[in-house]
Amino acid sequence: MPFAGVDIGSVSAKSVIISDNEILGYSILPTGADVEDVARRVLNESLKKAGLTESDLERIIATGYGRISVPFADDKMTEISCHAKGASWFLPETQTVIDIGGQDSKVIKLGENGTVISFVMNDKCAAGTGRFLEVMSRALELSMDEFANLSLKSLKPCDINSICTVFAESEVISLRAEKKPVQDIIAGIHKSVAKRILAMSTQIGILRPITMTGGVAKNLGQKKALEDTLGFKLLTPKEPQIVGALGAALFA
Amino acid sequence: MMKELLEMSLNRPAELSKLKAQGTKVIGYFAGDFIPEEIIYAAGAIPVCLLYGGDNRSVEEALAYTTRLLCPFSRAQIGQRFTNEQPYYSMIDMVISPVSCQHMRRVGDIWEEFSGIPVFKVGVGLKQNEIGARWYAEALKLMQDKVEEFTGNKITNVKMKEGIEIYAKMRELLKKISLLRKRPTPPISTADFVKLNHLSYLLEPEVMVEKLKALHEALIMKKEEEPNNMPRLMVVGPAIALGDYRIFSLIEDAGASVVVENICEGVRNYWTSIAIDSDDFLAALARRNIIERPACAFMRYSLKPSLDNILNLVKEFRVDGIVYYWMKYCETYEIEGLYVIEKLQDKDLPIIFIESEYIANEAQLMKTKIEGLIEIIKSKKQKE
Repeated sequence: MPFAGVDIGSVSAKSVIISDNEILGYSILPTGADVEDVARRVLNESLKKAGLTESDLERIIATGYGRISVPFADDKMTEISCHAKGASWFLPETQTVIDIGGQDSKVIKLGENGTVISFVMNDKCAAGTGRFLEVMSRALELSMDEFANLSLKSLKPCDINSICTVFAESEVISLRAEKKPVQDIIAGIHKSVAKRILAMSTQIGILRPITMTGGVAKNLGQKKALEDTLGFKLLTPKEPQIVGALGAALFA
Repeated sequence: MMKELLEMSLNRPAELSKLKAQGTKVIGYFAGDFIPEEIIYAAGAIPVCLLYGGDNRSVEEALAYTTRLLCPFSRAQIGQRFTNEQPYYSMIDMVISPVSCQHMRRVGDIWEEFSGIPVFKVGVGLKQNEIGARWYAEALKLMQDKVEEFTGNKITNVKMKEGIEIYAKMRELLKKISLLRKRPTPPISTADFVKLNHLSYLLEPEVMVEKLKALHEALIMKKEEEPNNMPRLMVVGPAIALGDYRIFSLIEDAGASVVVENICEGVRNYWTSIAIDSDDFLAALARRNIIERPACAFMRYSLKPSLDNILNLVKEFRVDGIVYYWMKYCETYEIEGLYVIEKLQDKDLPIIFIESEYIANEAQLMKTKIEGLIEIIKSKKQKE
């Protein structure tokens, strides 16, 4: 029986089609302004890749911050439960999920079979999120890919102390004015996000193995900074960005 | 009943204006249960608790007089004086302010600078012991003298006893109504219960007691409904302002029921009763407000007692999960919240931490956290 999970994040919309515990197809699109429209398009695209049509689907579950704006979904779940479920599908040994998304980040402690025991989420500001990294890459006039890769070349990350995105941005601009190597600035930015995640995770405690999900998991510079800060290696699913949508499909 | 009380509260300012015209003093005070209404009542004045909040306008308005680092509840108590949205803030003749947490005490300081009406401050002992109570009783004596001087009325033992009795009755009825929420399906929502508390700070106590009595009778007569099996949540935090009911509606909309609250400012301490065994009424009030109340987070040694109190309520009201509703910048409750979260990790009791600065767009994240909490509880129940 085919099921679909649709995850509408602040930056990108994801859809996954599964059947008999196997991924048949998935799709990722930028969210844009019209949430309802992108939900429909991302579902259709993933259906096309799976070689199915909507009438083949048994059930559809929506998740992500735009979950209420998916009119064709049969039900909705929070991205918290979905990331836990999806991460333990990819990597069943997972005990903790660190999800850094576009507008929020969360640390989720898992129980048996990918159930959630507890979670923390950052509160409304952009610190510790993909948005924070985006603002910083723009301040340095780099694409996200360049930004992420340059970071790996740094041996001596700078210290960025401001948690607030706006203040951190001006810190970055001063560091540039001081002619600090750009890779050290970027590594410093990644370290500051990692420190923010560490502060969050100490609230509920971290159990290993830890799996990193969400779009930011594709940023190897950020992953390395997190590993250095936490002191543990992180696992990453093959496609970290679709973990939430996959979890939703598994719940369907 | 709620509707009737709400209507009465709308007419209350006009009523107070009339009484003021006849020479009665209206005395405002700030929330937290440290300013005994009994004393104001005994002096023939009308006590009005200033506890509106929940909208961002008054919070922003306050920034003309203070920094952002005051909690939104405290900032609202400053901003309201200047936005003129709630008549009580401009009609009071004097205000009494507790020197309790860092935030509330600043509210008193700022009113002193800008309000143009007399401000009297009552020191609050930080230790929940005899010394703390004695120290606070001294402060209450100064307050009594001040209120007598301001109203021109001597507080007699007879009047004081009357005041203590009427407010004791009110608290007792609130407690009885509160306990009804232990039922599998509570006959009254916590949102309504908190609103009752808020109204009890504004309406005439005799009227309030009469209405609470009728409400209690109606609620016990109400047939027990089939258990609704909704997750039972507790809301814990520093303050719930009159008007700040968003947290309750978000929880209800997500399919859970708040069965009990544990709040420092905005909900009366109705749990403990007052023991009067002599004419030393101030000592009795001090015992109730300092020693016998559940600890507030700014008091000394509050962490463990607060946690024990929370765990006790969890047991009594069969709570499935906790929503820690934090006012942004309230440092004492942030520390306490982190402590509670840590201590609950091995208790199999899910908890979420929600911060509020009375801003509209906070609702999205609040909703996700609340729904996440409910999903944890439901998946636990499925396993059982």
